[in-house]
Amino acid sequence: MRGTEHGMQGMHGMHGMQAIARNLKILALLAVVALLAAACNGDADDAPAGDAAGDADAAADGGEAMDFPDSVTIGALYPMTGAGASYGEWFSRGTEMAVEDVNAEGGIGGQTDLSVAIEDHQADASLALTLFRQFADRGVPYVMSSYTAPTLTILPVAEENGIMVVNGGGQGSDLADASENLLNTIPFLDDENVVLAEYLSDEGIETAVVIHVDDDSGESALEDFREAFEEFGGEILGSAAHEFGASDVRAQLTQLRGAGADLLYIGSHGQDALNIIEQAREVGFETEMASTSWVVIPEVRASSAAEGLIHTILTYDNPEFDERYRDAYGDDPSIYVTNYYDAVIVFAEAFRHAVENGYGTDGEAVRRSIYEIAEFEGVGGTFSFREDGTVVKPIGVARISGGESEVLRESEAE
Amino acid sequence: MELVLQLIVTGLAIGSIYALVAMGFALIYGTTHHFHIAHIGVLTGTGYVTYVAATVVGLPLFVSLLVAVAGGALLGTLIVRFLYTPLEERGASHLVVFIASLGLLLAIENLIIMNFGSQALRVVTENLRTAFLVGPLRMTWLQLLTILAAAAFFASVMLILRRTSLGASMRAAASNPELVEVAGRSIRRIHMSVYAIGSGITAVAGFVTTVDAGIVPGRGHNFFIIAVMAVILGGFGSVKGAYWAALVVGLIEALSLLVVPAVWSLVIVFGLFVVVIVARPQGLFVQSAGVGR
Repeated sequence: MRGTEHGMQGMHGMHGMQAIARNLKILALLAVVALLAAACNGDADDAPAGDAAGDADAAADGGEAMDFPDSVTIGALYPMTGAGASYGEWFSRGTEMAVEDVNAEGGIGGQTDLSVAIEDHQADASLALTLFRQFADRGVPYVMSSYTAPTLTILPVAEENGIMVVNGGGQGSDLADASENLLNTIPFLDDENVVLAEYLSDEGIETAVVIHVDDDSGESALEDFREAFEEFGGEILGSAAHEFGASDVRAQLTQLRGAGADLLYIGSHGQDALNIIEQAREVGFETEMASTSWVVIPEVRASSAAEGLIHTILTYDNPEFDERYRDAYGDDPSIYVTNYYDAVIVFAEAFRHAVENGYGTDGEAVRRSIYEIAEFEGVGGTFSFREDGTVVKPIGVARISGGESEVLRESEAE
Repeated sequence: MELVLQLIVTGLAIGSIYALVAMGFALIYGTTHHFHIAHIGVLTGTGYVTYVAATVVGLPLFVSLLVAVAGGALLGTLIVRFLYTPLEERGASHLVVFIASLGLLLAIENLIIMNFGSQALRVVTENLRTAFLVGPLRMTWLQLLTILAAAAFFASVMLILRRTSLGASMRAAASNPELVEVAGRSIRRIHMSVYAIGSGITAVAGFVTTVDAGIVPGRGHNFFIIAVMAVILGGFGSVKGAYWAALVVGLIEALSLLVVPAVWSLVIVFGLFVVVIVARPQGLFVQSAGVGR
C-alpha cells in the first residue's frame, strides 16, 4: 500500500479504529504468547516479514551500490487522542503529505515504496516505550517521535536497536544532545524563550509568574524562560504546576494572580493551555500573557480570552505548500505540519544516500547518511542540524489578534 | 485573607462537581450495593449529550442541561434494567455485576471515541463563564450554578429519602430487599428509580464539565476516583456523607496550595483518605454507613 497506513480513514474513524485496535492488541498479545510457546519447539526457518531492514547488513561498511528494496516502512509516535490530539492531527497530516510526495516520484530513488505506521502514544511516555519496542521488533529503521518525555524515554531502546529517531514536536531542552540517534526538526524552548524574553524586555515587562504542566516539557519551559527572562533583567515572582489534562487550574491561577506580576507565562500546551488562558481571565488576570509557539492551536486562536496573547512563532515562507495544505484540509498549516514533512524528507534523502553508497538500509546506515548529507531541502528552505542534534530555523514573535497570529518581530536563522 | 477566601470559592466549586458525582454513586451503591463503575460512562456520556444538545442542535444552555439530566436518568435506568437486573435474576454476585459494569464502561467510551473522536469538544459560552464580583471575590456564573445545583440536589435527595414512600422503599431495599418484595414492592422498580435519580444528578456534573473545560472520553475518570474517595470518607453509601466529604476534598485541594505545590494537593487528599480508612472506617460524617444516613 502506498502512503500512510492510516491514510484512508477520517480522523474520527481513525481514533475509533485505534481504540478498538488497542483492545484487540491485548487479545492479540495473548495469542502471540501462545504461539511463541508453541514455536519454542519448532524451527526458526521462516524469513522475517516485511521491509528493507532484513537485508540491512549486507553492505554495512559501504562500497558498492545496493539494489533499492521494493518498500520500506518507517514509524511514527504521535498523540492522536487525548489532550494533545490537535498536535497529532498536524503531525500526521505533514507526514502524509510528505509520503505522498515521495511516492508520487516513484518512491525513494524512484523505486522504493515508502509507507509510515502511525501509532498513538497519547503523550504518555510509558505507552510510547511499549509502541517503540514494537517498532524495534518489526525492524523499523526510522521513527518520528513527538513530545519531550516520550521521546526521551524511547532513546535508550533506539540506541540498543540502532533506530534513528527524529522529533518534530517535542521542545524540551533536555532533548538537545540527548543521543546520537536523535535529531530534531523543531527549535527548542530555550531558543524560543531567548527571542521572547528579548521582546518582552523591549516592551518594558519586568516581572512574570509562570504556570506550567508538570512534566519534562513544562519544567523545561519554566527553567528556560526563567533563565532567558532574568538574563534580560526580568524577575520571576512565582510559579505553579498542574497535571497534564487538568480541567481546573483556577486555584493555581488565583494564587499566582496575588503576586501582581506584569505577565503570566504559560508553559503548557494543547487543551491545557486553552483552559489556562480562559480560566486566567475568569480569576481576574488582566496582565499580558505569553507563551512559546506550542500554544497556538486553532482552539486557542478562536478563543476570545486569547486575544492579545504574545507568542513565539516559527516562521517559513512557502505559499505553494500553504495553498496545497488548504486545498487538502481546509485550514492553514502550522509549523508542526512542516516539521514532520521535513522529517520524512530527511529519511527519504538519507535512505537513498545509504542505498546508493551501499551502507545498507538499517537505522545505522540512515544515521550515517544524515550526517554525511548535512543539509536538507524542507518546506521552508534549506535547513541543517547542529552537532547536538538541534535544528537551525528562524524564530519570530507574534500576537493573537482577531483570531490570527500577527507577526511582530522576525529573526533570521542563526 | 482575600487569597484564602478566593481559594475557598474555587474549592467549593470543584468540590460541588465531586459532590454531584459522589451523591449519585452513593445513592446507587447505598441502595443496590452495585459498584457501578459505569457511572463514569454516565458522567462522560451526559457531557456529550450536552455538547450535542447545545452545539449540534443549538438548544439554549438551560434546555441542554435538562436534556442532559433526562439523558443521564434514561441511561442509568437502561443500564440497571437491561444489564444488572437480568444478571442478578440469574443469581450473579456483586463481583459479576461489577465486571459487567466495567465492560459496559469500556463499551461506552469506545462508542464515544468512534462517534465523536478523542479531541476535547466544548460548548462555547461567554455568559456562564463570565466572572462577577462578590466584594473582593470573583466567581463565574457557572461556579455559582454548580454550588447551588449540588446543594439543591443534596437537599432534594435527603427529602426524598426521609420524607417520601419512595425514599422509605429505597432505605428498606438497602437493608432488606427480600422483605421489600414480601411487602409487595418491586425491587426492580426501586432500583430503576435509584439509577434514574443517581444518574440524573451526575448528569449535572457532565454538563458543568463540558461547558467549563470541554469533554473528552477519559474526562470522568479523575472525577470518579475522587468521588469514590469522598463516598468512602463520608461513610460508604451515605448521600449526606458523600456530599459533605466531597466539599471537604474540594476545599483541601484548593487550600493546600497555601502550604504545598499544586501537584501535591491530591497526595494530601489520598493521605487523608488512608488515615480515615484506618481510624474511622465508618466515615467522617455518619455514625454508620447507609443510604439514608
